Amino acid sequence: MPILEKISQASQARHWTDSIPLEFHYTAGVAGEEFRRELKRNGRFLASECSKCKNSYVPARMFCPSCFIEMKETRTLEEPGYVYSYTTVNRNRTGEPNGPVTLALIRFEGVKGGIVHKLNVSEPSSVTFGMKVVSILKEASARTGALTDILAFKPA
Amino acid sequence: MLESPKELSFEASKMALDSAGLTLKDIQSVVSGSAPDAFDGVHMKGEYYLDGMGAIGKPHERVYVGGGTGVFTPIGGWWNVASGMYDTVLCVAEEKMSPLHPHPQYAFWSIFDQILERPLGTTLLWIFSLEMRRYMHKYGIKEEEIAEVAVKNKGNAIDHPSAQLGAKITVNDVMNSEPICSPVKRLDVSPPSDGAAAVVLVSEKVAKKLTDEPVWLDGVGWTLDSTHWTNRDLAYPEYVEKAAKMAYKMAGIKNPRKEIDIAEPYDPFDYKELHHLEGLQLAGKGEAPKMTVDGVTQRDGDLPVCPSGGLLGVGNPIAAAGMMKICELFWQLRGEAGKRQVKKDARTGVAQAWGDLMQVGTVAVMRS
Repeated sequence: MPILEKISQASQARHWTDSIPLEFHYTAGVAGEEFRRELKRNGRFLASECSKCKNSYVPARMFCPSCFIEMKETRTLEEPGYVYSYTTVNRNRTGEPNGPVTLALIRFEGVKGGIVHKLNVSEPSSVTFGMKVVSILKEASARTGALTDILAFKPA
Repeated sequence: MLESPKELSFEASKMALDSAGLTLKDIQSVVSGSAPDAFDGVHMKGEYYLDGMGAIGKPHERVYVGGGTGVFTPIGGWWNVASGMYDTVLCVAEEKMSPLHPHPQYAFWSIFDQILERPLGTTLLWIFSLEMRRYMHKYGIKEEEIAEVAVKNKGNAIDHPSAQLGAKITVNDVMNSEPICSPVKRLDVSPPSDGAAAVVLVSEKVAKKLTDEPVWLDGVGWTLDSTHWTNRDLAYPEYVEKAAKMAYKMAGIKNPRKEIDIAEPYDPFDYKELHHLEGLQLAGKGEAPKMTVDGVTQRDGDLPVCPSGGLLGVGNPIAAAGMMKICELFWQLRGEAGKRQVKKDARTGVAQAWGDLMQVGTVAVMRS
């Protein structure tokens, strides 16, 4: 019975290894494609605005989750954004030591949602709530419309 | 660790049937719960493990709401009974995380937005550390106060026969443990685990034939928020509040802090126990840390919280961890928890689980 069991690693028991080889090709979606295009062409972040409740969302979305109607209005956001919360990461997703890398949830005044990204600071302890930050982008010619077109955010 | 998913399910199911004095022939339907297929590595897990749940040839359904699944599983069982469809339902939650390499955490990779989050190498620890930091900031909470939860739960788990990480530790041990993703440190987090847990739910007329001391599932509630977690406040789990209010209304509870004797909120991280106590209306916003420091949530306190040892101490086999809380309330409300038995005469308890992208609350109110 498991309660009395002493094996704590699968490698202690006979085991077989296998993987599930699957590959996925994801689309960004209708609104996601507009967000990507604006980022690639003009280096700006696109938000959608609901004509009914007037809430704006970033990244751009096709529909307002509250009013449940299509959001046709879009607008580009003015930087700087600000730090809503932050962390310093010392391990990667496989559990290996990696870093430290400082990350933040960046928000923008008057807009719901935000962007999670790296924060370029020399000292993690220098980060504060509400700190104004701006994006560092790849050169326009190198941008593909991916999140990685944003290299990081930095203090404004 | 050695048991296969079917075997884990069998062991928990058999224990539950034995406890109820029933055999598989008495069971009319089976509800199972388990988190992503990626953990066990079998891409139709519900169909794969069902032999171990005695579900061959019976109506079987698998429910899933991420980490909230464990408490959602008996809610699924409740639908079966409350709808009048069945009188006897076996509810089983199973999780076997150890097959996944290099680390079970890797499975969570694919729950994030494929365009907006995955390119950064996002992990669950990132978003929880952002949430923990925001919670601390909003209410002026210290890391040391949060660490008290890990100390309490790992200490409680010493008395749980299935515990993985029961230990006597101090706040200093937590504070000095490895900073993985600040402010989250090694001892703030529960481990990946293998496990299964089960209960038998029956209709009122059957319950009265089986026992003089039934435990009633008197209220259930569940809600989900969007996967756009970046929209959320992070300092307060509104989705837990909504689920709790739904369950309390059904159970006729008007003042949870006075009427709930014992709580098993979901504690994969120490700060989450506090967050959830507030969402469950058992503490004011930002007040759960003080309640913990004051000893109110100890086994001999006024509101014992996670007397089982919780996920931090017993372990975190995702779906099974939530069901473990239902099992703990069953034992506590019947006075059968042995060394873990709380001091007060507990008659009403609440169990809660949480998960997916910090978006789901599942709540069950139980009474003896």
